[in-house]
Amino acid sequence: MNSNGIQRGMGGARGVDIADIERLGLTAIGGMLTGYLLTRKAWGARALAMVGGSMLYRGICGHWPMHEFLHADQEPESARGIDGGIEMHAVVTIRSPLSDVYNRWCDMAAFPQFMKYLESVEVLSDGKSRWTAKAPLGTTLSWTAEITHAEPNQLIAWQSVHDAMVANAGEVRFEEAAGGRGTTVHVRMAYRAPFGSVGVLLAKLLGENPSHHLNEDMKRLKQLMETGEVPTVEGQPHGRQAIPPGEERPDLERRYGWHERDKVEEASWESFPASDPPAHW
Amino acid sequence: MKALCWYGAGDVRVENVPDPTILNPRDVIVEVTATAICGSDLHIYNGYIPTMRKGDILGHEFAGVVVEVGSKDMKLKRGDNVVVPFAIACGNCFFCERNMWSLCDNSNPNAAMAEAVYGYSSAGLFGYSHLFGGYAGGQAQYVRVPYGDVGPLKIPAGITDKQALFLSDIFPTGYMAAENCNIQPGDTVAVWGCGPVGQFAIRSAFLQGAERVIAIDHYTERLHMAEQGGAETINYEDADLLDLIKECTGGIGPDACIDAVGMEAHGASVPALYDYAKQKVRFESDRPNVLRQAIQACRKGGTVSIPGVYTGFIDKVPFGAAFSKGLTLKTGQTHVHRYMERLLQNIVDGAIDPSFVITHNLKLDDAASGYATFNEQKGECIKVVMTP
Repeated sequence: MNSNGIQRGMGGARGVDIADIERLGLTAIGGMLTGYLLTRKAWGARALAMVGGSMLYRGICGHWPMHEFLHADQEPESARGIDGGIEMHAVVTIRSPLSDVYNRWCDMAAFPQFMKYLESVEVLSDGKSRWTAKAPLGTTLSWTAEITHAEPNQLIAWQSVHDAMVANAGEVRFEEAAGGRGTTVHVRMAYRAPFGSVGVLLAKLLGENPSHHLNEDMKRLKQLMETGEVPTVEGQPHGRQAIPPGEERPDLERRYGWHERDKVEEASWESFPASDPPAHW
Repeated sequence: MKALCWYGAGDVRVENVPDPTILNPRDVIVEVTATAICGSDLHIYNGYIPTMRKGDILGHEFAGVVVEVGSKDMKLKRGDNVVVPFAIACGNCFFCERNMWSLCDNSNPNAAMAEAVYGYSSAGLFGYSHLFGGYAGGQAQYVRVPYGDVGPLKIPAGITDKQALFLSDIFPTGYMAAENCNIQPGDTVAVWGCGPVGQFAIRSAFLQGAERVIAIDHYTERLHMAEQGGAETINYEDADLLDLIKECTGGIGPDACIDAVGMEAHGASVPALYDYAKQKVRFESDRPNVLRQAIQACRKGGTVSIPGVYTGFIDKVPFGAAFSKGLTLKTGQTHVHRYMERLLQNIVDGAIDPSFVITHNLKLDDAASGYATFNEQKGECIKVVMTP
């Protein structure tokens, strides 16, 4: 990875673009507005609370998120051709050989296994592919992308085709990790969503780091490749689903009840203690 | 099924919750036959572990019978009697491969949360907050065990569940605490805290060749159990602890000190009271009084081994003393998988019977009162084991 890339990864202090006295005022007013309005249930109040929140944010951080967003294109070279888009990066080291990791990236149809917000990827001809992502309220967003550059075991770069609803571009670099620890994958991408400015502004006001989801996706890829599964606790029991005592759950006996034992063991159980005890005893 | 759920500080209840199901190919479901309350569960009980959610099922020490296995080809089958390590480890990553199982790279579904707090995420743990994965624990009739092909150890015939149960945590934890001391023949090891981990640390130190073990506590019953394990004992309420340690080590200091207490240290000294006050108002997450004493008491060039749990920030730690005396500090969650087989062999050979530490046998239904007893009567109550 070049030094420019490393610096980007590190981030840096954001510029302060307003005066101290103004910041104090904004912090105070914004804080009070947010605090008060968040206690109200009406949606109008919540919207105003967001305005208050952004004043608070500006007061504390000394800059407007909007300011930063609008000037995103002044930052040095964003990923190819997406001026003003959201830039993301992630790095992960996977304990698998370089060629295995590269080949996994060539199997785009399998991306939804580890990319949480992808619904499907359909591989078309000429290095093109059709991507469908999950969007709020059960809707989906689709776009077509093409591979612009690929060097086996080193690099894959892509870009959405002209007029895509979600304009995006990016590249994945592969390299052998130091000390034989597997393969390091660097992903950089940028995108501009429809109604992007609103969505991005909201996301930024709420403090979400755009790289967060990409990092999570890369972690899932690592888990999948190293262990064959993605760890989860979704669907496990907890006391928030508790039912009153005495009320039986029928599934207990059905799933683990002794009637599920195989016949030999059953017979053994029946005749115990005359016979050997059942195998699991 | 019945399960012990957490609802807030001092509030745990046995509830009727759905049974666990297989969620991943390498999962197994274990029907719990014996489960214990760990001293570290009391940190949760007392409300000092962040990222708990109401209704979370507790418990990370359990043994039982495999009743269901996932779709992946497993060494285990239905009916196998197993004891399960409290740290959840994949067995495939860089850390598992290097025998650092509690630092597994892949087993925490909430790794991002842990990364935000600790820089990097360690392994998921059973029943120990969402920071460590949010896995449902084993103080229940059934429990889902991820990576069933890696963690669970089969209990051989002739060994009871209660003898094998502590291979899940406290025996390996005490053993690793002693191993971290790098004990040489003739060494003296001081152990703070004669709870279950301290008891196993004492016996493990002798197993590893220590000549003397000095055990420190203020509960006479616990000190008595330490004596039975061969330790010399100090009740820290009797005199100035650091003077006494210096005195009984001929002015040299112990070669190694083990902090088997952790974040909820007791004490009546000025720094200890300071910790109480700060922890109450959440200005300090942990009370490190024992750690301070251990660093202060340790001989020059010695080792401070810390199996006691710490979660956040501590202050007034005499780091100058640690630096000036060239101390080695060793810490971390136990790499349980590393020790289980070895220690099982010790049990089979009759070198140790871990069930000596059990003082209370209860039914799972009475788990809530078990927590209260363990928390409030640390004298006579040293280890609570429950059966469903």
